[in-house]
Amino acid sequence: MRTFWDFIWADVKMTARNKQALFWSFFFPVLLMGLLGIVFGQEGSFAARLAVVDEAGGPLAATMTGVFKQVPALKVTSVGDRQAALDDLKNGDYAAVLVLPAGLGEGADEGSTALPFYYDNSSPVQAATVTGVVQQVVQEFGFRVSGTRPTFRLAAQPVAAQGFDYIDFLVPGVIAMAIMTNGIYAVSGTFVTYRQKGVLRRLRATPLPPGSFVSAYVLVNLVRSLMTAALVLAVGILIFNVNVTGPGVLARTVVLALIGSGTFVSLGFFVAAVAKNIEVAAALGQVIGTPMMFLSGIFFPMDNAPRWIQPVVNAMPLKYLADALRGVIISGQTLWTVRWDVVVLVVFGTAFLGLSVRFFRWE
Amino acid sequence: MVSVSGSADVIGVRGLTKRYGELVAVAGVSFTVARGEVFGILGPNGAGKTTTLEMIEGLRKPDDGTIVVDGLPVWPRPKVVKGRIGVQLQATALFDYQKLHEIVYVFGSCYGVRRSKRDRIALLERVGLADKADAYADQLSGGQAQGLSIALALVNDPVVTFLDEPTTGLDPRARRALWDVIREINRDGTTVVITTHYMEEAERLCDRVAVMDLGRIVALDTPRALINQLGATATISFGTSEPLPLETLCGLDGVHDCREEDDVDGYVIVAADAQRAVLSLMALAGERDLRVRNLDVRGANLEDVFLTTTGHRLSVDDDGAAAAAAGTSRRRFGRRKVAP
Repeated sequence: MRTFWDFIWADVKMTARNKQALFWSFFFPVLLMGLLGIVFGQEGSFAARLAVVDEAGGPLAATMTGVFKQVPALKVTSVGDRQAALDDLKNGDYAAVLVLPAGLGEGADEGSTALPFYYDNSSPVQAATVTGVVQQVVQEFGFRVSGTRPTFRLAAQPVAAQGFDYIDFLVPGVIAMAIMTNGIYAVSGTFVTYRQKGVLRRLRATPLPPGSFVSAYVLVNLVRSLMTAALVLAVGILIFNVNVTGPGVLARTVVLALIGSGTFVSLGFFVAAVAKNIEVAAALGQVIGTPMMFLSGIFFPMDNAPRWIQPVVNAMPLKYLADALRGVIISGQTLWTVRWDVVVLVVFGTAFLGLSVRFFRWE
Repeated sequence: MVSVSGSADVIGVRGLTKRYGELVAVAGVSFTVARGEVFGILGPNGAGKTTTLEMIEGLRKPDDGTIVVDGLPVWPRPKVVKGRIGVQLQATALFDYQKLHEIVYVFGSCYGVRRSKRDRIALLERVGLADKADAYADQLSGGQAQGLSIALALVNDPVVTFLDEPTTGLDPRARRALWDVIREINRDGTTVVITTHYMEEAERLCDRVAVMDLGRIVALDTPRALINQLGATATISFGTSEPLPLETLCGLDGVHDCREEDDVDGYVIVAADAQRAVLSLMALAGERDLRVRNLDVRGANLEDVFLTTTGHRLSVDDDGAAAAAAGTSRRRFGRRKVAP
């Protein structure tokens, strides 16, 4: 047992001294999140989704809807039913809902008409932007109608919704990606190098059971993944105002990160088992890891991807880890809610582990 | 480490056999290694030296035969013996990003031996690496890296340590430095089993040498006794002012074998009797009015033992370093006269 801890300490030191490993494990995920967050996370880059509910009917309401549709900062959908629009708002499908009430424009002489306006307050920046834009459009339109004074005003109401920003979407994805790279690349790279250098053979010449050396490495790798997850999450919360909701979210994240690490460490051992040398291991890791990174909905949602590619997306173990992490971190879901993602991860992990044990060679 | 058996032999191998499909890598090898000696296994690449060693070390399961180390059978459960022996494998096992003294600690830990830092430096001192204790393994030269892997073969104070071609690929100076290290280790009381394809290494370092070829031991004795078996043999090389037919050379009195040799720009004779061969060569030169240049008479060595017992050269597949280190050079075969 003491030998196990000696190996853990040795692995920790080796990781801490390996600048390249530190870069890929810690710096790269944060850098990636930062860059994508800055480039795509700003409001305005993505048009805010606005639902317009036309309860008034008539030409004035139709003209007004048309004006909104021409505003570049807005992506306007006409919805017939206010309740349906509000439900979708709560689900995060819209940033805001604007209602054109019955009797729009009537009695304009007596003052301004209040337009019910509901916005998702889960993201303050987005809420402020969309409110501001809608306010401006409504005022301008009012002046055009009356010529002198505001005809309409917004009756704004915040709605607690699950709506999320791009950065909210991105953070769990980057955590999943880091867990995958820590698993596949670190494990396969390390063990193929050890095999090539004869380290594994030399260790087999000692009375030490091989399991204690391997399990020490795996434990250090799991902790490394957890630290990456914590770092990405901390940067997301502190710098990018990621909305983390629900109690016990950290504990759930740790559980998912450990399960996901198990799956991808197993995949890493499988790569190490079939790759003859470090070049093959690196290439194989890329062949497996790169498509997975782009087809698992890490950086962008896969909902809009072509239908024919969906079966491929569904075959990616990383998708399930990203979905589960997203559900837990952003939507405040419980582990029970994401249980099917977890089941798929465990099934993948068990299969990879079985294949590794079957094909792994010590020399 | 206190040995279990009081017997003089620390290793006993009998009928050891290993097959890989059709290929018989080790074909019924038997020998014993006495406590305290340096035992060499000399042979070319592919002779079965490493396979033999790995079966004794408990890394490779023999198909047939028995191995006893320090009174304990290695197979079927090699773990106990693994703990009592020291192992240096051909491929040097090193962790990146670990300092030398840390590597010594981790490997010691594998044997349940946890050394203090002072103790680790003392072990590194034995292989001349004390001043490198805080260096990383990738900063070592080839000879130093081999020194480290020998230190790791001593980390558990073994009764016997196995060194598999420890000096392969080293330059002559580093090789000689490593010989001193190995002698020192042996003087401190550790039995050493070493494989090599350098005849000079076997000759200078080993108390006894097993000459191995094609999976068999073809000769086993002290280097001196092996060479003495060849009688008054010597290798004579020279150039001549006029070409000589090999038939005539090989037919000379006292000559066992002869060939043309580009490296000496002339001929090489393997003499069964050096004195008679030189005399008859000089007589021939006088008869034909030839000048003999660069005459060089060299006593027999293990290379000649190998050549005589197996019919082929030791350093056939080598990169030339072995031959260069041995003070010989690459040669081509000429015609051979069957010894009377």
